[in-house]
Amino acid sequence: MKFNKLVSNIISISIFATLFSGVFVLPKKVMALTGREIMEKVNARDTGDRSITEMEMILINKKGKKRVRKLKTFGLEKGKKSLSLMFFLSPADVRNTGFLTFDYDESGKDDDQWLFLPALRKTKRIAAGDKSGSFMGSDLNYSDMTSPDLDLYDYTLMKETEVKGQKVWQIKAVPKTKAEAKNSGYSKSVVFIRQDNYVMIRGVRWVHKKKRNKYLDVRKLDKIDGIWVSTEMHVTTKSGKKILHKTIMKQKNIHFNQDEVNEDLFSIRRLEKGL
Amino acid sequence: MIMTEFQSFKISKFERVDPDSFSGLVFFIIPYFFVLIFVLGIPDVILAQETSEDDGLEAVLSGFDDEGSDEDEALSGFDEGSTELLSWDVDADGERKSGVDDESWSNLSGNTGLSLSYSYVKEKPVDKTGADWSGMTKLRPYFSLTWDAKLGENWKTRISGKAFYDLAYGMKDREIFSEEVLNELEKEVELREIYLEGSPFGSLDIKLGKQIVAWGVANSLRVVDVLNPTDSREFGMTDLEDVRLPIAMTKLDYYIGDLKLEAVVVHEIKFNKSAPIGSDFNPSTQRINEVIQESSTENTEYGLAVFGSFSGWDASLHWAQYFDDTPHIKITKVTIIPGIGAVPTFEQRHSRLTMGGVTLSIPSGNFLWKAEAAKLQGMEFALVTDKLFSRTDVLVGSEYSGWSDTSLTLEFGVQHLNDFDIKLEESPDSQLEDRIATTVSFMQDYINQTMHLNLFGMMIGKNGQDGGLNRMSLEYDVMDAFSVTGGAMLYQPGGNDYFQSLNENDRIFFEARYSF
Repeated sequence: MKFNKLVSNIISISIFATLFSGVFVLPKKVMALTGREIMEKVNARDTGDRSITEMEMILINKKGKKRVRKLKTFGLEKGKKSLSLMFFLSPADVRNTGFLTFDYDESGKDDDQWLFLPALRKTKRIAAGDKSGSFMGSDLNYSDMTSPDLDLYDYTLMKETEVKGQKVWQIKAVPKTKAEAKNSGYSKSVVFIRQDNYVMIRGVRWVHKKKRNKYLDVRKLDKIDGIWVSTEMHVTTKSGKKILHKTIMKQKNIHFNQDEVNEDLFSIRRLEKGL
Repeated sequence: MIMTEFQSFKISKFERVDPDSFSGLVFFIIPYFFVLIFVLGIPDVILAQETSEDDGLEAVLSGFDDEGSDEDEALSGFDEGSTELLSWDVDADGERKSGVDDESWSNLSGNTGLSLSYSYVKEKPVDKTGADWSGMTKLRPYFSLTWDAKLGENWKTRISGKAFYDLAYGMKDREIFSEEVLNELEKEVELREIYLEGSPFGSLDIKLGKQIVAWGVANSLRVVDVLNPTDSREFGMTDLEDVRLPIAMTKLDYYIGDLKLEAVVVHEIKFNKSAPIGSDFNPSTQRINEVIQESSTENTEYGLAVFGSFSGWDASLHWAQYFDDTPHIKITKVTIIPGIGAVPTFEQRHSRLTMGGVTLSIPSGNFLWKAEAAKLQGMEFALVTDKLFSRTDVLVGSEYSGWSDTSLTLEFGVQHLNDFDIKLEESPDSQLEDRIATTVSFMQDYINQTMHLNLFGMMIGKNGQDGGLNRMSLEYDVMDAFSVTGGAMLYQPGGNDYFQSLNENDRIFFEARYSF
């Protein structure tokens, strides 16, 4: 059953916004910041609220064969809780599968997650579990989709440099424990944070216990309703210089502050009703 | 797939076996899984423990000063500009044709494909007195279609159907197969779900028509999931999504905060589809009349449930009054035949049962713990007719998802027949006071989730002494809409008659499916 792969691979999409969007915050004294302080500002960005987004992922294998996943997502911030609801639009065999997540911004508290499997007419509770599994078969994994717990990493500001004409900080993140390396799936990362808006526009991940790297590259960054949103990102898995797999993630029809996105939407009732 | 086949722990009709006998199944299932995993050699999560990357991890944890050259090389690995984009055949402007589908008011979906199975154990009958269940046992093109439509803001409807024709019978001596087999297994055209659902006001939802209501938290065994009958014609071979049979119901759901109150009225009396007499899953030659209640007001079935979804746990309470989908045997007449003795006449009947149950599921880290319990009252048997029996069913299980792209599930269930009477051990009741079932499921995805391994094992009895089955399959997504699956099903005979009758039913299977 393919639904089981969803069980083991889906992650909150509200968290997705964390990766893709950010508010414009002009740093006052950028040179004085440490790697940790910069990451705190990245995590503290306004990623938008009461959002509706359509997402497409194009998965491309090393032979160039493509697969496409389409989703519609809803997101809401409620205090220390991020609520998200997403529905699969394609491929056909998982259409109308729904996923509901309550992501708590409290250390040690697991997310609440439910998956609705239309073929079984059943809603299933999901363990938040391991975050190293692939997200829908893409090159991203769970931990790529969530805001990192900063206390679990050591951050080092390596240098200031430029990416595509933009000034960025180059920061190295190393998990403090083996457990975090295993759970996140990465033994270390280097990220490039734009100095003008604290958006991560590039990142390199070292895959835990594999000689592979993942390259995250934001190709399109748009300002929507005053919020910076990455509307296209390419994620490439490489072994040395050899490309193993690639994912192009796109977001479109992004809307914030929608009245229909209220707390009632993020319920088992709506999960089972579908779009 | 397996779940409904095992409804009511089908062993209820099995002969009791010597409790000291030991099939060794428990020692078979687990090594079987791990041998397969290692033979396939793909699960990085497990094998990675042996890789040289361990040393790299230690280095990471102790600092990265010595890895400068590695980093520099990695950081130079970005693909600049649009050239690389074009090489992937993706438009550089990012606004290619790949928009998300518009939501329309009407949608047609479904799948079509070919399903086949091959029995490699059974031998062809030497004469034409028996049906040939050797070799190709299924060659079945199938087609499934579902139409969904939105009717205004708050209402929608669904009509779905399924059809198949099995070519395997025409490839053999078709006339030798029993009429029941040909009627049940050679062809089928079936309307499945036909319903209207909507929200007439506020917190109330209503759903009218042929539908499926799935209760319970278990994957493989059923305790409180009692409302829909099941397709049990091929034990262990039916797809999970096809196992429950839709029946005419009215369902009302009312929401209060984190609670859902559910009331179900079942208007249609329909029982399990069981293996037709003379099939390879029912080699019996004795035809026993089955009494099927009319779908009338008097026979209406009812269900009530309360579901709670809370932070850190879910729970539900269930009550139902219904007819047992699995029949019991009743002796309707005893005829004395000189020289032979007393010859009973049997009839299959369905008891009116009352069920009260509870479920619980608690996620904790990489584990999901779950439990179900229920008490069923009103059970009838052939050999003790002066009272009704009750049964207590308990299930506990756990799902582990701590390995990448992997899920491991263990479920353990017990059915305890209360106030057990030793007479019930005899045929035709063939009951046990305690019936035990254990299932293990291992699923793992590979190659960016284009390949899916699924291993399933079930054993009946404390140590597997009453039989079981093992199923392994590998599915590959050739493309988004098209997948192929191959696998094998192995039945373990154990010590009871039913599984012994399946002993030669081992088979390999294959399916090609196109979804749209």
